[in-house]
Amino acid sequence: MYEVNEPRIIHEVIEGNAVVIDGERGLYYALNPVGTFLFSALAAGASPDDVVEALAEGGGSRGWDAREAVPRFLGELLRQEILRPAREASRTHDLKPPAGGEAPTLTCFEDLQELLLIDPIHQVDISEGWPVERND
Amino acid sequence: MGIPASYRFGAHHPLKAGHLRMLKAIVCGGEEGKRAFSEWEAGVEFDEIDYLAQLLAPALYVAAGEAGYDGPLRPRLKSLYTFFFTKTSLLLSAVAPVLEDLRRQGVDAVLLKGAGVSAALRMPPGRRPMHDLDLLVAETEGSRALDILSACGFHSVRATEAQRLYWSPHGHDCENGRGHRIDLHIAALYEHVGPGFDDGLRARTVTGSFLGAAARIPCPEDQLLLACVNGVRAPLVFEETYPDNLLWILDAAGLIRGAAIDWGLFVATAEARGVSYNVRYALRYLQSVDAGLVPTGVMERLRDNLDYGSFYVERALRVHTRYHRRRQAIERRNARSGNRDFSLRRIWDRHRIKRLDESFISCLLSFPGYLKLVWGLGHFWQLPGHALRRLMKKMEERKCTRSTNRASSTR
Repeated sequence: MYEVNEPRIIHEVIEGNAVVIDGERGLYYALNPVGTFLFSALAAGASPDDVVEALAEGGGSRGWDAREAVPRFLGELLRQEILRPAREASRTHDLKPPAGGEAPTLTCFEDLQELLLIDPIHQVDISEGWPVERND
Repeated sequence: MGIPASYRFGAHHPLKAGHLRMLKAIVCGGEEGKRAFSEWEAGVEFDEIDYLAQLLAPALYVAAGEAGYDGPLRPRLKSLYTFFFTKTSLLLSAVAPVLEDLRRQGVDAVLLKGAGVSAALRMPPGRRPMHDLDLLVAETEGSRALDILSACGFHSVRATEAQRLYWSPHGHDCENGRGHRIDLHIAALYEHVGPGFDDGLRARTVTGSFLGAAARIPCPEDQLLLACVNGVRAPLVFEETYPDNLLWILDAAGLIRGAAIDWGLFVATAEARGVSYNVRYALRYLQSVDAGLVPTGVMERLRDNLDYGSFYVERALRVHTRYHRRRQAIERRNARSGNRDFSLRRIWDRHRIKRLDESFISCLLSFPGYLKLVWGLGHFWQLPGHALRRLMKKMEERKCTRSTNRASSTR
């Protein structure tokens, strides 16, 4: 089982997409809805098998293989030190995957200090919001 | 010497319409909140909102989401929410090791202000932006706590003890070089510094949760008192005409709604600390946002005039010290000459006013760098030559002016 690497990692789900901050390395991660589901479920104590099962039961048409994507995504979360093996066992029972959706992704924005120089009102793409900069 | 109108006691500066609508939309809820939000949305020029409004945006984003709002400003509010979440998270991860070290070494630290309220109300980091972490330690433990902070990379920003006493007599402002700050308080309030003044607050502390660990926080009554007094310091103590932050109103409203406030204890503490007038002043802001926040009878039990004791003397001294006279004199000179004046005296004035909180020597030492920048020179060694050329040019101009004057008088 796994847990969030706190207090180094601080995270929050904003409108269905998790935002993860690695304060020590100054990294910002944005997760898509399926990535957010996997991250939340794994951080709450679900096993990778539970998650694969929940995705299979959740239905919806997916153009990707959960049995391949879940271990790969978990590996990425562990490699980035966002999750770590849990010190205490906990178990979640309520796994509700999003219907359909793209394969889980973890987008990393490097150098947070640089990102924080982007004005969240005037310099960002209005539909995407901070930290996605406006193109012009 | 008369006191300017904005310094006069009792001069209450009402909240600006835009701020008031945002605060009502967040605090009031229901129909009144929705109405305030609609009015704000209709009247706001989002590209122009000031920093105080930007700080309120995350809470407004949450309140609007709870009310089911899905209009055009939602992504813009979300952008600010994400920004402040990130900024606050970075601060929190920088201060987490310090809290851990203080705990491990047995220093009894109490979380104050934003951190204390976040811990009490269990707010996510994005909801309550924080610029620094406020910690209260006993005065006797101050130097030990400073050593621990120093070992974690947080050093005092004041070069001398005199500067610290001038700027923050109630604590030490520390920074880690990456812009993260910890205000290490040895007294909870700027207005109330002295031995034993925080004994009551410390005895009444409760346990909250902060960064996944248990943390000591003041009881709701003390948190409310601190929010009120800190919130109105700018208009009451300094020469500001408006609160320098409005988050305290959200904190106060959250505390009142989230806990059963013992108003008797609250009033008695305010009186005992000599900040009864400040609290009354602050509660007027709360009432203007939501009249229901302050129960009937509370205002009447608080002083409606300031006791002209140490607070008045301290404030009068602070406002009219040499610092302010000097600052005003320099500002007047700068206003007269304008920013295009590159004479040595004016450049020095501009440099000095930026660094008035530094010692004269430190200011003098950094002056060549500033001068090089203003004169647009590539190297320090060019300074004497450039200064000499300017001096000769000036003497030449004076000579020309004198001969012109002589010629015109002869004519």
